[in-house]
Amino acid sequence: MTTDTLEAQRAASRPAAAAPTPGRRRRRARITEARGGWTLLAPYLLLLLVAGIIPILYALATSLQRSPTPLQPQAGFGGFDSFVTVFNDFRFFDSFFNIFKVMIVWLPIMLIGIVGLALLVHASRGRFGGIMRFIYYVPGALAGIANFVLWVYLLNPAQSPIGFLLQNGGFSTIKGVVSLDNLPFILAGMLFFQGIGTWIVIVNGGLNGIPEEIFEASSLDGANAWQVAWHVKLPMIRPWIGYAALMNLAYGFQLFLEPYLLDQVAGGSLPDQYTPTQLGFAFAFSNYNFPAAAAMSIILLVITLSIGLLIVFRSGLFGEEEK
Amino acid sequence: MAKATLENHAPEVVGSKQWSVGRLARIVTMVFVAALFVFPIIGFVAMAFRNQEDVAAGAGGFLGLGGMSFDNAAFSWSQIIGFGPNGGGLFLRWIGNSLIVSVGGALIAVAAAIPAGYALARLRFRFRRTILFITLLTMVMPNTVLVIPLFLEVSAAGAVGQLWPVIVIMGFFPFGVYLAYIHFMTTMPPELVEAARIDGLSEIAIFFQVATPISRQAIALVAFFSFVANWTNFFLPLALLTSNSQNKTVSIGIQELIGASPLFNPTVAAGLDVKLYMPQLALATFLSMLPLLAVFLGAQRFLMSGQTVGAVKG
Amino acid sequence: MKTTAPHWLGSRRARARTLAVAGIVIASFAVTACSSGGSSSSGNAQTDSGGDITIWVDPPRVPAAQAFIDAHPEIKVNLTQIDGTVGGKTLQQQFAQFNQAGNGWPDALFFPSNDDIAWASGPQINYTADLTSSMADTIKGYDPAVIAPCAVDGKIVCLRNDAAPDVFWYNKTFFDTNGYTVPTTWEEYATLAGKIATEHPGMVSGFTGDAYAPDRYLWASGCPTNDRLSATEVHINLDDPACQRAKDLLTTLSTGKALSPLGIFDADAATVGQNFVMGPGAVWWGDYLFNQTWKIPAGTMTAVEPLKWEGETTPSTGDEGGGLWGMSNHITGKELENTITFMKFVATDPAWQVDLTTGLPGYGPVQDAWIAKQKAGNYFADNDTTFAAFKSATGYVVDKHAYMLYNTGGIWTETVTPALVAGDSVDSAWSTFGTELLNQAKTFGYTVVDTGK
Repeated sequence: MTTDTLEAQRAASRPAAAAPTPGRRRRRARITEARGGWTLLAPYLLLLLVAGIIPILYALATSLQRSPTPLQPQAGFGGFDSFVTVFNDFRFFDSFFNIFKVMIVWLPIMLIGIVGLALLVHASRGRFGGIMRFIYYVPGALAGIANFVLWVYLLNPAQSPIGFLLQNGGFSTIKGVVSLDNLPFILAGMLFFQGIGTWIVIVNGGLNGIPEEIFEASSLDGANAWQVAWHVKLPMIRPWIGYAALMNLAYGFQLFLEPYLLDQVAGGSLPDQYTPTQLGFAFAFSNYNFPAAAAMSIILLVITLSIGLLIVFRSGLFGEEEK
Repeated sequence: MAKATLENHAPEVVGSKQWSVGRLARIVTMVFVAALFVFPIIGFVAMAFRNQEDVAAGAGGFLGLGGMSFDNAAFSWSQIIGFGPNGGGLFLRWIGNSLIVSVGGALIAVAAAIPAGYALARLRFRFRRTILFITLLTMVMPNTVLVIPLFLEVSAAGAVGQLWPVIVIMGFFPFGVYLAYIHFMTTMPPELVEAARIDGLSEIAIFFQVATPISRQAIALVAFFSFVANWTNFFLPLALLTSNSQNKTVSIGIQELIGASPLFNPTVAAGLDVKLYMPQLALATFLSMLPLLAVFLGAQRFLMSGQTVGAVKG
Repeated sequence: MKTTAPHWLGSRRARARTLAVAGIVIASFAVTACSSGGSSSSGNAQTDSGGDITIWVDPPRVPAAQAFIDAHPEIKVNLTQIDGTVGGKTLQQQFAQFNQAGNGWPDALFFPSNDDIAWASGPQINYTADLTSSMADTIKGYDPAVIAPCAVDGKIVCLRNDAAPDVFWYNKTFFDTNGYTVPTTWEEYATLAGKIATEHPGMVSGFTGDAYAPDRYLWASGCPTNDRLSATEVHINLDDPACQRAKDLLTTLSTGKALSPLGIFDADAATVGQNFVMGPGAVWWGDYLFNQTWKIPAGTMTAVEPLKWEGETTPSTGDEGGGLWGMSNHITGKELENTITFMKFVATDPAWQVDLTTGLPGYGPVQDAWIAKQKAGNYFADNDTTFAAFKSATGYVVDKHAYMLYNTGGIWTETVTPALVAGDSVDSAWSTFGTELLNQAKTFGYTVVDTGK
């Protein structure tokens, strides 16, 4: 199904509409089909509207409002004031720089981990590979708060199974471990632990999609397992790697739970607004500046939307299913 | 790397049973990584069955496995369940709320995603591509960026602190639509639809009588992924439900337990008659994961059989 | 990686058309939404439940509410336990939600952080009722210095649960054995701390790692960090002589290795606390910290009146907490009446303030009964001096310190604490603290001036 055929159909149906019977019947069938399509889509579209489109538009409208201040309690149209407020906030660039610091540590580890482990799993056939794949998936099941509590357990030198390592590193309390300087590494660890499993399964799925003959051909050519992995498998899963990189990049921009709760665990010694999402949250609920919070959401939305567009258009993973 | 691998050049064939340096290295690496992944989890689960005195004293041996007992867990449970005013019980309330929103959200997600996926895969109409495109885009975007806009919307509707807006929002699950779309694309040939049309079935009837019966796999997957996403969602309940102490979900409830732990907040904990140390926090977390474990076991058959899962994200 | 778009998206022309349509739809929506979308206004319609009241307390205050329920079975109380994290944001977030929704406020509550009173009484949230006339009798029982945190723009907007002034604590056993004299000025304290640290390495004369540390040293010095001039104007000036003397004091203590960079609530503080020989600290340190948490043996610690600054005649000290009860201005009738009964009970009734609470009651008339009860415990080395110091210290708390929308203690733990833990100088930590304080004040919309009134 390509556009050309659709256009052709449309072109064909136009003169046909003038002709009496066969064209009209087809046309009526198409109308019925379209009506059926829209009916079946209706519940989903309603949800899309309520949980996607309307909030975005409402946020856009809110961001153009002026926030009521003690001096001017009446809200009104404020143009781009709230965006100016957000850009000029002393934490704005810091929060993005923080994300950058986390990314610099996390993304390389994550990508090497995903690719390396997926290739290893793929090279291990039979029960062993299956068990390993399952084990690698397990931490992924501990998403969100559960992963967080697990890490609190790991990071507390007093009771952690790796407590001796932390003690040797000069850390005797969790407050010492969870410091601003260590934060990128801790966050990278948390994100890696909870994210890696699913991605191994996904990339492994991609590898399984490659026809067996290709590997057989290369091993007959005398390539060993390493060479097959490096020269054959790796190039073939490049789209998946790109997809993983972009998805994780987008995910990084929405970091909230981990730094938010780590501050609580560290007795408030971390910045309250470490990430952009936390900053937006603070605009809304600490400063009561809903226009600024909405503006912050719009900014994040534009960033993640751009990444999303890159994924959809450039990863080469979507659109192949249509036959 | 290339040098080291030259030695095992000849014998290494995919699937060979022979032992070689490369094969050994691969297995050692994989087992090592697996240990790194599994030991913290074992230690954490063990923590749920230990007692604070042993934990503080560093007793219990390797990963604390020696200090486990059901008596400890029973005591920890009495502390968890004792949390809250008027004799406690908040924890069960949170679990109940989580069940309501997660199941409700998953039901809506399934009810909306299956017909939508079918329509996108097998029916032709204008803007079909646009909708598919929007679905993909919303699917790959992290959902927290929308939380503040959603809060503004829900608060404009005056429904902050209530469960139903959370259920509705969770019902919007574009990944489910994409899964269903892939499912019908791969399992339902267009000829089947054509044939049904020739038999005189209406479009809606075709969906219910032809498509639905073969979509068990898709239903199970959408329900599973949606349930897991809803259960672990933190930011949405945080923004929409914190104002109502009776309507919190377990994800934000555990945060409250952390906030009331003497480990992190001694002044607050000093006034509590229940003491929430690491064993109690670990047990609460462990219990909060059991429903996920249950749905995982229930959906395992579908998860393993379908390559669909490999298609996209998690 | 392929650069082509998925082919189901159609030709470039079709895509452009889709985008254009989407653009128009968004634009038109935005215009209509602008006219209808507005911000909240809390409205001031007061409601009456007919007598049932909703009370919010943090975990340590649950017994207070329970005592009220026992004493007043005729009033139906809906009790909610809230997140008690000091400096937590959830409560503030909830009130933002109530104001958006126009309902849901509790009738009375205990604020987990004292800073909460700033937003609760501020023009945006505008939650707290003016108690000046409705509870005049109760307010009369407070020393003006104790109720000062509740006096906002000439109105009393809350009631103090407990008074928490700093006194000067010292280890009497240690002092007697080694023949040291208890200092009476801050300057003497700094000198002696250095001497003790040299002669007895490891002995500690102060804690700087918790959110109360700026109250302990900066507030006690009269340093303008929280000098509220009006709802929109604040006086902050860390170059003020009052700040500089506090900074010099901290520098002397720090270079003399007499300070612990830990916070008093840190798990490790219990170990270090055994070596605590002297320093400013709140009255509640005695029972809560020394006795219950650090388990320092009875007959060791004693408090005396707060220190003076050289050249001044009266001692000057800060406050470390001392919780606040607030009441809603959204209620009327029987609901209001019952809520006032509740407020009066938790602030004044011996059933809570004497029998149960661990802090020195803020309400004057019950202080002696509380002291009598605590004295019976015979924990301190010199009980008479200690409790006399408790009582007189309430009057020495420096004024011109209001609770603000920004959290000075939180800024301290984010800037100074990590720096001192890392071994940096007070000087460098001080400047980051100052910058962050100004930045935070500005984000909350305050105009910052560097001279007071």
